[in-house]
Amino acid sequence: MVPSRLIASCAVVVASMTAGCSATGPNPVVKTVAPSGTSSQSSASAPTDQVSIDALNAYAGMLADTAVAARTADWKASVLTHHATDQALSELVRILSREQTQGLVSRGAPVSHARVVQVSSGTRPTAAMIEDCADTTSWAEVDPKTGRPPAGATPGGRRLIRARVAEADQVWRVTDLAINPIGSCS
Amino acid sequence: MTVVGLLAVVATQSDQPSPAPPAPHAPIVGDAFVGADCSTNPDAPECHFSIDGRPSTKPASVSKAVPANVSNVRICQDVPIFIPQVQHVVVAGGDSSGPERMTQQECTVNGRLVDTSLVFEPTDPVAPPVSAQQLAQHAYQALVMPRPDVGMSPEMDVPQLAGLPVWLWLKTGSWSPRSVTLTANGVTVTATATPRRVVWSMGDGTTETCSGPGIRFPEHPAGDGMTPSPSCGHTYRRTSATEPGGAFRATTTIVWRVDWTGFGPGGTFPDVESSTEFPVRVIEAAALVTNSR
Repeated sequence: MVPSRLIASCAVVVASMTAGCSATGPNPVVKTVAPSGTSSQSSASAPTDQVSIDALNAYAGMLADTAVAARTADWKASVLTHHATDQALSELVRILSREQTQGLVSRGAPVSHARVVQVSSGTRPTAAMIEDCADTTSWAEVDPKTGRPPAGATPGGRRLIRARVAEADQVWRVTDLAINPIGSCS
Repeated sequence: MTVVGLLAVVATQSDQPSPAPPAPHAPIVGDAFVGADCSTNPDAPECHFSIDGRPSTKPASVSKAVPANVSNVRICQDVPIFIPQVQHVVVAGGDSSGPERMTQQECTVNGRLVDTSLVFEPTDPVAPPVSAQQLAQHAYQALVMPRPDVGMSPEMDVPQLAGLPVWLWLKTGSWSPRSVTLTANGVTVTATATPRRVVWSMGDGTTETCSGPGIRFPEHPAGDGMTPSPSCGHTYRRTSATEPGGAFRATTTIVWRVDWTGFGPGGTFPDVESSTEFPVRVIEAAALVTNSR
């Protein structure tokens, strides 16, 4: 559940999200596991509040879509386009294509601690930057035949994800993604 | 533009002169993100972008504005996607369906995006092999231009003084050729973008066009600030006090010439641009204005 007022930060589990969400459908169900403790942008104006909500929803949707597609390493899944486009979409396709090539799939979902760190200027902002110290410990790659991680696999961990989210055609989507190595944030 | 399925594609993008290293085999780590570009090379330029996005060679999306008196207008467009690594993976994986063209299909109704999908179509097996021109077009679209990394003196984060010459330059890295090389069916082409000029829209209604990156302001003893840049500069004649936010919105745009070579006579593509925007605050400095030209 997402608070209706300003959320400049949120912690979500995307495992509960369904594959059926679309670019126009209701926002995906996002389970809040804990307040992140990060300070909210109390000085933000109302339009910026809405931008933060829209941007975080789009980002959470992108992660959820990815987790859904990764259950079968389906890099051709149209669900990837619902909350991602441009470089971010290409990156997700590449990530899942690599997973499929290695014969692996993913179980579980990453835990996000996303927060909006910047909103574009102007009276009607159309872009926002998000930083997420995402925890992938509960999002393991497994061999679908055994259901277990491949030999030699190490656990996931915390990765710093930077994302740009922008509005186009009245819909917010992630346009750019930089997913950093495990250990890049704490 | 039509994306042609490529039987074997190897792509590299590099800042000349050093070529990009080959993509390493992904190490075995326990989550799917190990395949992310910035997971293996967080310092790569493509891992850095700003809220303004990143410069792109793709043309701006076509406006889908709908006339006010028309309702329920559905407009769909196909956005070709070309991901060399993935197409390469498809072939390497021995996908029996053969090469496919990948398209992102997007539809709006009254200007609002209502559905998006990925569409895969097998390429016609009897289609003619990819031409060098088509391959060059892919290389052209795969070029990623750097955002201008702007230098100013007086520095950007202090107010400029009306009447005082401002030196403008691009920091190292913004002004060097970029290239992308693609190989398919034994044909290799390289598209190279070369900076040809930089246009400084200063925000006060004037534009300075410079043929080179400009010269960094040297460390002068105090008092030499009245010397204009010999190569690229501007003098603000009024303050930015009445501008929104009290600052001019300046834009720096590098215009790149793109040539391709490698097969036949080669050719030249339309210029591409990469730009960055920044605020410039200009305040009155009566004494200096008096002494200015």
